[in-house]
Amino acid sequence: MTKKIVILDYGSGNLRSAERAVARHGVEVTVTPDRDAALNADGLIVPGVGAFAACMEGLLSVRGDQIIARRLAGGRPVLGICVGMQILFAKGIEHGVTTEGCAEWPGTVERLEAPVVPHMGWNTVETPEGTRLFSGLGPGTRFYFVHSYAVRRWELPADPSGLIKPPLVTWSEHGDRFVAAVENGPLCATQFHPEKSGDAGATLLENWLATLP
Amino acid sequence: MTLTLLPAVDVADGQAVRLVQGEAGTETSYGSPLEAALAWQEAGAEWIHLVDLDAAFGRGSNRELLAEVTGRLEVKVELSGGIRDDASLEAALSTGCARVNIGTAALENPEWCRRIIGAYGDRIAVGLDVRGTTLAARGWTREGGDLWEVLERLEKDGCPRYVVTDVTKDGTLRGPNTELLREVCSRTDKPVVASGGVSSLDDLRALAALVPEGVEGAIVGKALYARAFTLQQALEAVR
Repeated sequence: MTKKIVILDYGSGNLRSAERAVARHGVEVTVTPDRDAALNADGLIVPGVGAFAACMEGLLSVRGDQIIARRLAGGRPVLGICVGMQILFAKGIEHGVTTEGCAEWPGTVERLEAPVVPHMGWNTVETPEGTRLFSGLGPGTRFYFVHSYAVRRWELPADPSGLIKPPLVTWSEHGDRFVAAVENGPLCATQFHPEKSGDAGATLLENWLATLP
Repeated sequence: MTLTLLPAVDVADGQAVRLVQGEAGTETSYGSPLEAALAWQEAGAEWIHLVDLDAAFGRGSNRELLAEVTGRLEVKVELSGGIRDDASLEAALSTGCARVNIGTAALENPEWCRRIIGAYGDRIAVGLDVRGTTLAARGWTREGGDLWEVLERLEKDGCPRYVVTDVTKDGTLRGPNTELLREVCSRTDKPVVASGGVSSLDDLRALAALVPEGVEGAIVGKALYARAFTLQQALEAVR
């Protein structure tokens, strides 16, 4: 059966490139703010461009935070892209103003500390052992980034027993190290834009689609 | 019989949190309690184990919020934390929860405990927070009496259900204490709910294997929040 993918439309703009990129993989893609469609899709993509606060406001207006939480409780995959990844963290700080995020992970989205901001262009990433998202993508692979903010510290405390597999965190560097991707059960996210990252991005999307039940 | 799963929603300062080993001050925030509970409900939970940590540790209360959460849920709620006298018990029962979990009070006030078991029957479960075979009263931070003496007393009083937590395992994901649970089950015919230590689907299968001996359910917290497995997978594992 053809997998159904929903790209959550919460007014964040520029959803067409994601739609086109995903549609190339032979899945059915719908761009919609509809709650039932988003809850029931085989995979949900949460895109996002612009400011953290504006994205959160848009997301809340379609109750996107609830949609994400309920999908995850049921083990239904969610992929956050760019600011769609950032809003999964506990909070974002822009111009001294703190905005609460979805708090799926602890951590703060803050301004990159680098000579040139925004970080715009192609960059390599440092992937963890056991990654599925970056399967088949070697160390020199480049992805397309465009952002001024990022998570610079991974704050989820380690499980003291070591029995729970911690989320897999992929890092990149622009001035400072920052989180480039996270794989955590049904919840995955990338700071870069796979839909604008050429063949590497297409492979990553294919890898994500392969994880869908 | 299938093992009943009770996803835990622990509330402190209005937020859903998870503790490491029940010590105040080691909370990790996970967001809105109502959203967490609704998510578990939607994922197929039949019960929610809802805990007022501030009340359990004697540093405040989230009673109104918990009443609101209970009221908004369609699934059954087991309410826990700081229920230690008539006022807190009546407030807890009036939220519409199916069951309240009495901890500290049952240990420190045997007379009251006997009376409420008589008055409310099946809506009462007594929490046995165990470290070794010693009960840990008052939240989990003080030592109580010997487990087997307390259990014998509660059996005489007609206690309808026990929630057994090995506090050395809770929140640490070291696996449930199956020896302790079997020992408790061998000394009572009443249902036993296991709490603490579940880290994997295998842990849940181990608990499901104890259903014939009297283990009725399992409270699962941190492993779900850390996405070690999803509730859906957990429900399938114990089916």
